[in-house]
Amino acid sequence: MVGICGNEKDSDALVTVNLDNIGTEIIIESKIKDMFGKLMEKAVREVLDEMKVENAKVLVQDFGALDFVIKGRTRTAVRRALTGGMK
Amino acid sequence: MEIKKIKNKAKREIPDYIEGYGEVKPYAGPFATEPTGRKYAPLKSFSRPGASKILNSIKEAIEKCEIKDGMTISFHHHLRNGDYVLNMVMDEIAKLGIKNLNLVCSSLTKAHEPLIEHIRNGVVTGINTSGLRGEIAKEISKKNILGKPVTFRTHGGRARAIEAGELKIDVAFIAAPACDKMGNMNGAEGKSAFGAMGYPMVDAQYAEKVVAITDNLMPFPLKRISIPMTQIDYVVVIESIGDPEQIATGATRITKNPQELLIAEKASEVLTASGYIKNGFSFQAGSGGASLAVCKYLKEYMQENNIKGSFAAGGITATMVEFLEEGYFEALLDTQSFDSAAAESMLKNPAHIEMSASMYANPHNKGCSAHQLDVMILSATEIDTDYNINSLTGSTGIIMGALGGAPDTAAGAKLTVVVAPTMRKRIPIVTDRVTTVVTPGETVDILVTERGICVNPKRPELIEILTKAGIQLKTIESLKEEIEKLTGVPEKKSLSETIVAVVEYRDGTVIDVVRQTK
Amino acid sequence: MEKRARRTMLFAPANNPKMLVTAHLYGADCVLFDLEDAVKYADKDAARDLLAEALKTIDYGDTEIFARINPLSTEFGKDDVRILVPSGLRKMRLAMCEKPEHVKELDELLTEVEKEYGIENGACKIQCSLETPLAVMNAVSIAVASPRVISISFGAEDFTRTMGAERTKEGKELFVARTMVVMAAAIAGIDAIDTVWADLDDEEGFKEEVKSSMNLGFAGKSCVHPSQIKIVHKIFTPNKEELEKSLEIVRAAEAANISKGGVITVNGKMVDIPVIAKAEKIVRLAKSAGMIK
Repeated sequence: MVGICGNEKDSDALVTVNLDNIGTEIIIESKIKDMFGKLMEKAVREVLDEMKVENAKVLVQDFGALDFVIKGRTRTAVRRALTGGMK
Repeated sequence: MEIKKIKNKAKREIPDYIEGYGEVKPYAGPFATEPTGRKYAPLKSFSRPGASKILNSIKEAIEKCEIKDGMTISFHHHLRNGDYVLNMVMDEIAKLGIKNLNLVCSSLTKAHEPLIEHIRNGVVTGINTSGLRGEIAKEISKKNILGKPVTFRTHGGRARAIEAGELKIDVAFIAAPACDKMGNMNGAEGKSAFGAMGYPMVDAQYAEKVVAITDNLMPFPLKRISIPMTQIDYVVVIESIGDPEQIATGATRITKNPQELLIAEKASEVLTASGYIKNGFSFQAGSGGASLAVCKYLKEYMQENNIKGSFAAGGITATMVEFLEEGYFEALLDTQSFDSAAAESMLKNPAHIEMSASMYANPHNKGCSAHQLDVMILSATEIDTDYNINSLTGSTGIIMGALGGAPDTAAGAKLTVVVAPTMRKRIPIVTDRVTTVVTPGETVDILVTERGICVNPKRPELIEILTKAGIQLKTIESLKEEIEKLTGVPEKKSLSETIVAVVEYRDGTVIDVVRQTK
Repeated sequence: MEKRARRTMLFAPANNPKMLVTAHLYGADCVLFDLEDAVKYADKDAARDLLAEALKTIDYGDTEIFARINPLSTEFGKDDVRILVPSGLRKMRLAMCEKPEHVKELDELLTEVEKEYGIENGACKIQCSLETPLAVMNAVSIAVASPRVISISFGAEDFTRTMGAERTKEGKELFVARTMVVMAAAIAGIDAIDTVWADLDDEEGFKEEVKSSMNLGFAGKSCVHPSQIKIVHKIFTPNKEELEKSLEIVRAAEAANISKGGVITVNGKMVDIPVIAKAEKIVRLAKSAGMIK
């Protein structure tokens, strides 16, 4: 089950969460991955931990989003995936 | 030979000798160098009555000037992104099989990407410029395609180096929108007009040979002369020296972006509280969004308080022209016109005065306008806790900007204010150490951002005046922390040891180097 | 409830990442993050989660933060409260509030959520948005429906539409409604906030409207663009004379230790509670404008 949230816009991020996964896998696509990739991954991980999600493949397409945006989008994407998201 | 590392006054470690550049004189402060010796001069020349300077092609000019391998040639960038001339000249030179040329450009723009091929083919093996952007910059930063360091100089530093003979130009190619058969030229008339010709005014005086390239041959004598025929060897007439749409950009408008306006408003409050805005004051602003917007708020204050300034300098844009025409300033000093409004004004307003890059910013002459400034507004891509500014490289180390005249005006102005947003996308503008020092912190007084105003501790009297006026100040360290709470602290990539560019300060000392990205 | 100046309330869509970090920098007394009209149905959950994260991590300084939640009658309203209050939201604008029952419903939900999360009872406050004729007619009962109600705001767009009236610049069609809202706020001892002015190109018209809002007794104005903030603040800034007189009155009242009733004399003039309250308001406005510390 897949949930997507966010926008391909400046300062935002498009987060795709696929719960049909074994374990957690986080992929970051960003022009500033070298500078902030680790922090972005940490932000996603924190949300997954809070929401007690242990199996998910998360793709973050970042457009200069701050951590709170990545967290917000991840949270919504997970919720959408959980409540019968897309196949 | 053992190469030592020296720590210069900007706290950067630089080797005392750089392969492809030479011996390094370390930066020692904005006014540490007092030059000695005579200025350089080209060979004497003579003219005969009736002799013609007109040549039929660029190729002919190259042949007549006897350009050989290893020579130094120069160009200006007043035609901005619309320049055809540099590429045309380089193509002809390449076709003739000439190699190893050293280029002395006032700056390089997107229009000059074809240089990459010439570099790869060994036609160009040396570059001196104020800035580099786009693909050329990336190739040099990432792959060091030139094989030897680019030398970056400020506008004032370039003029100084040419006058001192550190840059001995064999042939100067000058794109001229209006030119007569003897080479009298100006930049303000014709279909390719761009305005002031500040940079090539210096080249024409000191180069061995000078070639004017024009698409507008006018009757002799040209009535308005910026560069006189006494300095010109040849005149080449071609169809078009540039793309008018990219040269004559419309009047630069003041931004409507609320964040830029907020920064500008705060900056304007700082200026008015500083006490420097009073009758007869002088002013210069960069062309960035927030910098220009400061003018809008400044005008309101000047109007309310009946203040008339003595001169505004630049980098002249439509905004400055308005200042002049509406009586807010007595005169404009112009070394480079940024838009068509400025170019037109230069033609019709006697108080809009053209000046050479030397008169603008050369620290080693008898007076430059940068040293007469009261207030200077700058922008920055990065600033560190020592107030050093980087306008040349991005945080990843890739070259993507220019020195411009910022280090010149920052040193000269009584009050130097940097306006900038706290972050661009997620990248914080305040760092603990800038990637490249372009303008040294000891010449920078105040930083204004949308989240706070910081004053260099070296100016305690400014801290006092602003605090008394009710302006809230923050230390640059606490602003940095505030920003990092939002952005996080970026990881810095390490760079290789190979030096791809040397950054000279205005006086020829080395303030920093740029290393190849890994 | 401590009184503070609410001269300007800047609107910002809650689903806009940039505005969530910058809205409070423009000097508005309050910022209203909108989850209602500014957010599409499909994005309501995203906006809510995004605002929640922002509230958790961003320091908004002295700016008062409100969120315009969706009406509780929609599928979104309850979740807005349940997710945003634990994340730090303390002040919310209840859109389309028409009856005191709407207030009571939100009041009860807030009590529940405060209890669940260990938040002080009554910490969450409500600003009721009156947008229909019914709402305006019920203004007084809405304003006193709960101690959580700290202000009421008037929204002209929906109001004029429901009335079948035409919105004009002079605003005659809104005069009665505006006055009633201000009266209700005065009766309840709370603030009234006036509706937005959307025509950014008509600065003169905007200034006129702000002046008349202030004269009617509104405490502040909702703003849609940062450029409006300075204009409102200037008009709401007392002049020096007014301020001096007000300072005298406030000092005299403090010295005389008046709290519930009575009359004192200042400069030979009789001064009672309403006059003192007005003087206090002027001093407050002056402090916000930076005229005094």
